[in-house]
Amino acid sequence: MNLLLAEVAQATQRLADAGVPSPRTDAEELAAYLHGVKRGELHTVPDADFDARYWEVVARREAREPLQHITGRAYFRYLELQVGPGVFVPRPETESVVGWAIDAVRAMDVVEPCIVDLCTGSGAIALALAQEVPRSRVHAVELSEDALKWTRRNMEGSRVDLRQGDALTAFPDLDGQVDLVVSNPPYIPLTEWEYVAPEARDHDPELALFSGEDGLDLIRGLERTAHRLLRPGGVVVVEHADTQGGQVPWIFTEERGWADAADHPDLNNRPRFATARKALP
Amino acid sequence: MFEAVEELVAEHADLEKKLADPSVHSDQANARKLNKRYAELTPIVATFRSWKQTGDDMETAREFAADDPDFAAEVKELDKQRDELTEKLRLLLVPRDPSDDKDVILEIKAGAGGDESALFAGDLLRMYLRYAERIGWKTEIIDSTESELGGYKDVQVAVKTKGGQGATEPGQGVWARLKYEGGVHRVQRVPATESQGRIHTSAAGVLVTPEAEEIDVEINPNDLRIDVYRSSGPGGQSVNTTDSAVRITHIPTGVVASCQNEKSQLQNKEQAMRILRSRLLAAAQEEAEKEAADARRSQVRTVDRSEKIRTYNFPENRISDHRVGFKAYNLDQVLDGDLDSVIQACVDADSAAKLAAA
Repeated sequence: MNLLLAEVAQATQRLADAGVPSPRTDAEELAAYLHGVKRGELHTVPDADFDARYWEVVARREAREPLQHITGRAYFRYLELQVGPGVFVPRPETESVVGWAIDAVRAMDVVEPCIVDLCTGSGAIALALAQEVPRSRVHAVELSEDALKWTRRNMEGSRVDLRQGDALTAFPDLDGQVDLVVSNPPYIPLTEWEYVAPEARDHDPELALFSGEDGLDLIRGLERTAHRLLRPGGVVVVEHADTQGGQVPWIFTEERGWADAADHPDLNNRPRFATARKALP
Repeated sequence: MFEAVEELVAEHADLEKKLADPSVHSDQANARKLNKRYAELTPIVATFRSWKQTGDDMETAREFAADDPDFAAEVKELDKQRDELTEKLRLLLVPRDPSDDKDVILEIKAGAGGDESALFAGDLLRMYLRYAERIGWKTEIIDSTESELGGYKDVQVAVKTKGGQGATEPGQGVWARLKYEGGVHRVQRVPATESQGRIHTSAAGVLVTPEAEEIDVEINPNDLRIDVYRSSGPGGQSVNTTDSAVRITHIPTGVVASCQNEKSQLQNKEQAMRILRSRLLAAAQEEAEKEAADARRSQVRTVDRSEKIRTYNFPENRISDHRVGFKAYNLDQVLDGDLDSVIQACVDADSAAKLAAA
């Protein structure tokens, strides 16, 4: 094996000792990033090209700085996003949430579907929908100025309508016209703070992670916002914590003007997102 | 000799006539099919014509040779040409494997031998990577499970001709050379883990699959189980998950495909699906081949994955392929990627077997 693979094997051990959850993945991704190859092409890097800065980036990861902050990149579905301090790093679970949303909006058979992403962060959800749903009109809102620096970079040249502001009062101009509202709002219960991994707890913005004692404060508010924005028959999709599968669908009740409220698991079969349809009058 | 070729010549002439008719091209799919067959037959017909012409020329030259020494020399030259053309034609008539142009997924799995077997799997991996590098193929490790001592419990490599779009010349794809690698590879040596200096025998399995095209096979989504990285905590926002590997199991057949080399979970899932399709298609074809007991079936490519096809004997620096009786004493070079002679022995034996059956 070449020098790089030998160094990667050592780095893997160091990251494992530091408690990094998938040490080999991270050791290989850091090496691939630094040497400009895909993860599966590390064996093709000549020994002479080994970049000694590898040990600097490994040390940063050892200190539990997020992999994506070191590389400055996060991947989401078909997107490559720029991320760093101040913005929430997209998670693979949300890829499935967007997959469900895309299927739902396709099934509507609307020519130019109107889509709203609340609490867009890096812009991952909004950009994926704009990319994968032809002729969609996508609107996104983000409150945090720190996050928006990244959102604007990622949305440069895209057709997403980005606004700064509070998700609860956003888009008064779209009331009753939206086909799909989707959101990955902060949902970790404050009571679970100690179980949050250091990469998230110390590096993702608190605003993107926590929302009240039970984590449901913002979702309860978004229920009203979604109802205001959606046309009758329009659909809402909201991500939530694995412990909230029994609660979130009950926020979207018939009394509040919803139908077909349901909960869905992620690929690990953990409860992950709730969906509902705005009832016809 | 070559009486059957007259039929192909007639077919070729018939195709030429059809393809000249504009109405044939209104059915695009059919026109493509005719064109493909025409292109297959063209070199055979051309070589056959030269072969016949050389025969006629030889007759004429022979008639004059008795009186003229110049013609005697020409007879000799023509005889040589005719032998070459005969061989070329024989090879052209070997039934072609339609997958020969395709790229492959090569998987190496350590056997029951524990660490030693995993180290040997690593040696095989290196051998194939070096071999591909020599030819100029592109290799990507798409999934791997390492063993403790730096070997591999399981590793999968995508091997592609440079553009990634199959071969440029017909029959020169990755599958044409690597299809003979499938089976059990046995190693005899003193393992690094052995303190008494005793020679052990262990083994690793190799599975080679040509990459299927999208349309080749249909899969019912309900038959699939999808596994992704599972954090010890609650997942979602609580943990920054970096491992986007995806493993897909086709429940009815137990066939598994996985990928970790793509950027996102979705892209890994799509790549794993492509591999799964290839494996299911290959399994279905092998099954069909077995059932038909086709006389033209390749005699070298093993359908039986448990067949021991090769031995790598370190003390004697010997490599042998048991299917074709190949033996050479340059194991060190072979493991460094000099695989050509052992593969060529398999190609030749396969061609000969197919020719005998044709």
